[in-house]
Amino acid sequence: MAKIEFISNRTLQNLENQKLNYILSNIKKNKILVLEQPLTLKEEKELIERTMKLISKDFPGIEVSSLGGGEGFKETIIKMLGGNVGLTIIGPSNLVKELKKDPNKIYLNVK
Amino acid sequence: MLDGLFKWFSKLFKKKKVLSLGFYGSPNAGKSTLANRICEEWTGEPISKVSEVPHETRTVQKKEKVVVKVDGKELVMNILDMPGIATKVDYRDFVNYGLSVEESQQRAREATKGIIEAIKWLEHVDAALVVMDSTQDPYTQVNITILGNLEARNIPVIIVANKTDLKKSNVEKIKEAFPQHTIIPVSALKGDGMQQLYKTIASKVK
Repeated sequence: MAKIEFISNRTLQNLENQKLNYILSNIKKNKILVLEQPLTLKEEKELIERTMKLISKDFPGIEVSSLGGGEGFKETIIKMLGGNVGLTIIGPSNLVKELKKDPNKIYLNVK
Repeated sequence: MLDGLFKWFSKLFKKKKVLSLGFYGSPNAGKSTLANRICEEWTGEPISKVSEVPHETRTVQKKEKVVVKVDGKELVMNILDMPGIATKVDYRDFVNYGLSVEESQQRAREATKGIIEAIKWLEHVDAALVVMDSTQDPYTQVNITILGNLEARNIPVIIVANKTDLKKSNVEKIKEAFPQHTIIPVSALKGDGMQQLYKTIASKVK
């Protein structure tokens, strides 16, 4: 049975630089995470790097997809005011078959 | 007079700028086939081994000072063929290609290290070719992450829509997904589109 955890913007902000540790430890517990605030491109890059260091026979990696999450002036102001500019979905690849994206939708296929 | 002489000497001894050109993309997009095409055309030697098994390139492959002539000008490049970037590496996928379990697990370990190496190089290339398989969905998070991180560093990027020789090739889909980028359709295998690619590299890095 798939467990999906929705993580609020406030929780993510409180995690500060522990955000990726929190995400990866929960993914390894076989949870699908929906982040109210999308990861930045830099965070996504770091997430891939750190995922690679964890890969084993039992943990083949992750599926990740984000909506929105632009890093322009408008998005920065919205974030500063506590607003949301998109979301990120992340799951372990042994549970999530595919995260297919078009510009405005994400399709999640679970195994 | 002295000033003119100084300029003449400076020009004579000035080192030609060598451009580091990184080849990025998902596994099996055709990065090594493209890098081989360029290296074979201009140096007579390939740079990487190619295979249909994903993650054939597991360390950064380098070919230094490749001189490409475009419209009478010379472009000197260090070609860097990067391991394909992915969010998962499952050794069982390699077993399906006929490798033993042990070989597959070793390949998976090497592939994860290669991905980390390729990501680290994102900060050190002067320009990048992001190679996409034009028969596949281009709108993946890996492609978006690669492009976004290169853009954030103001590194010139060209998207290479590869495998145009295949029936299922759909270059328009790549153009729709990334309308803000320069996209060059290429068949690295057949050599189609290479002149346009060389001209675009030259215009992007001048």
